[in-house]
Amino acid sequence: MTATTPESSAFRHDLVLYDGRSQLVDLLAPFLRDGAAVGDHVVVLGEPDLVETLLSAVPELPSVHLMPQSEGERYPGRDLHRLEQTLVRLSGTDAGVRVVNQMPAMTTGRWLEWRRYEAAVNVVLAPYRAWGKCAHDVTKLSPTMLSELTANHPVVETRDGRRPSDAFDPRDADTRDYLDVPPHPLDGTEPTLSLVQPTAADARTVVRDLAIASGLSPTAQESLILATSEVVTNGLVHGRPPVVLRVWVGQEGRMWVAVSDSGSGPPPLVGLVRAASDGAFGGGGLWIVHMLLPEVHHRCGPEGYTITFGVNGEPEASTPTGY
Amino acid sequence: MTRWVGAVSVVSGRFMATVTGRALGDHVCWPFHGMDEFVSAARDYVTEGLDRHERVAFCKVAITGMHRAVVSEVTQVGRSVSSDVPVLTPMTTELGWTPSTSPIGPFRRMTEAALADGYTGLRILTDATDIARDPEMREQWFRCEHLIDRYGLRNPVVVVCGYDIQRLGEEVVAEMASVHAHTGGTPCSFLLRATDEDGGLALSGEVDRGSAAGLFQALLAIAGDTAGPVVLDLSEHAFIDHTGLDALDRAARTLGTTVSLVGASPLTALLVDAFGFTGITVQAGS
Repeated sequence: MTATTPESSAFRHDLVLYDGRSQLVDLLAPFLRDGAAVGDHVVVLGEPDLVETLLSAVPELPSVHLMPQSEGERYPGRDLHRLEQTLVRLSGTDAGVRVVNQMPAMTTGRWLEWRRYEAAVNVVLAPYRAWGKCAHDVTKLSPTMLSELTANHPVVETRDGRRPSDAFDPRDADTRDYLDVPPHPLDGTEPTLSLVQPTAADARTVVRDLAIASGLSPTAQESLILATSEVVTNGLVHGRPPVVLRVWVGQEGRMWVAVSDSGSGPPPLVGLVRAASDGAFGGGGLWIVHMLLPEVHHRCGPEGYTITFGVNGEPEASTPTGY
Repeated sequence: MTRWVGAVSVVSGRFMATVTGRALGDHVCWPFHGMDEFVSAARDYVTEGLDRHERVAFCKVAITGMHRAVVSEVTQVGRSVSSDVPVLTPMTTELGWTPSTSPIGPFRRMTEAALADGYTGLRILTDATDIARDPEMREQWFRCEHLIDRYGLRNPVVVVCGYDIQRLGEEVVAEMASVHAHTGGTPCSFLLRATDEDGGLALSGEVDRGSAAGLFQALLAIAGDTAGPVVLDLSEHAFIDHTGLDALDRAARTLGTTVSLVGASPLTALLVDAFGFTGITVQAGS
């Protein structure tokens, strides 16, 4: 990276609100065209057909990095890591980087983690000289979602033009209570099994046995066992006793695990912003959980902190290649 | 040996309930609670060896040296009032051996003598409790245990190493157990064993935050003189989380080498990549 002023080294994080496919292309294509004109690298994330349409709309892109993925396959922890890895790779050159990211259509269930993602982008990608645009389908956003998004993007762009976001709060990530959310729907239901104050090894053993019995694929088993181990360890090290493990076995090889403790919970961007090592071996246990698992739910409430996560029978192959 | 269960093995056959059922090549840690328990295990172990026409010897490894006795009848196994060894026969002292030197010289001479005398192999029972009580000597002996592990790979010996939990405490026994190919019970969560005579290693069991430091120390102690990358075989489906991989990474960088993983699961490969552990490589096709 060339010597930069603080302004040019900061990550720029715009919110693009679109209604309909053609509007999305109209909003993003000029941004890419301008990038091509100055020789910037371009990174495109989104539905495979949108990625293709953008490419044919702006055929002159000199350096383009495509990350086509349908919305059902995307999850915040892995997306953020992949994006950061891409920016690390591109940071060795003089050229700037432009990122367009067609965000998954928001549902109430998806929103909790994607809103943390949008806040975490401001922290994790801050060191990179890049300009990113997160494109959200405005027809899928509730008023609350819209208000949250304008709070963590400094600039908002619609078909009416670009304007600074009045609601933007640079301290958003520190101040908002991202984990103050309703309990996971499973929370009030009877688990298949629960253990009070298990060791990480105990937790691995019971989850392994249930995962095998329920016919989970080897990859799903391994991911769930590792995630359980990391989360229980985290509860024992950082939480307040008792640490309680609950496991639900669902239909068709689906399993969920919840780990609770009575403490006040982790920082609001837990798992998306990688924790510094505390000097012991490791550091980043919850970060890797968010890399591995599509469904993670955090809640801090008067009774303490609970993290709930699940796998289905055949999660996507987790391989280090391909990003 | 390993019980395969989906993606990972749980309690591998390397963690055993009985001291018998041994085969030549085995190197086993045998934690015990007090001499009476040790004598009882020793009787079973000695009986099995005599039945198989192996030469059976007891070695007491102490700071003062290695003291040994050949046992030719099970009636010679027992606890005498005046001594803290599980045999009733007189001991001789191995001349020229000190804890800072390799035990393989004496072991090799004993193996060759056993074969020359017509035995099918050599069966040794050691009690290394005394030497393990001294922190500095323990470090030396830790390395010796790994050399014994290597020696067993290609020689007709079976070695069972007794450690008294009552005198050493569980933490020290866990440390010593971790460099054996097998152990009685589960004194430790992982076993780091030799796979060849060039420093190749394999991991069994589980490494997490509670045992990562032990793995780091074990590697530093036994992998220091390995030429080239330290090959670590994970194909027994050992569980290793990011703290364990961090330990491998830091050990590799401390030793100025790399740890090359063989038989790693895709998930382990993903962890190495995601955390950017540059001291670790994952061998393709593993």
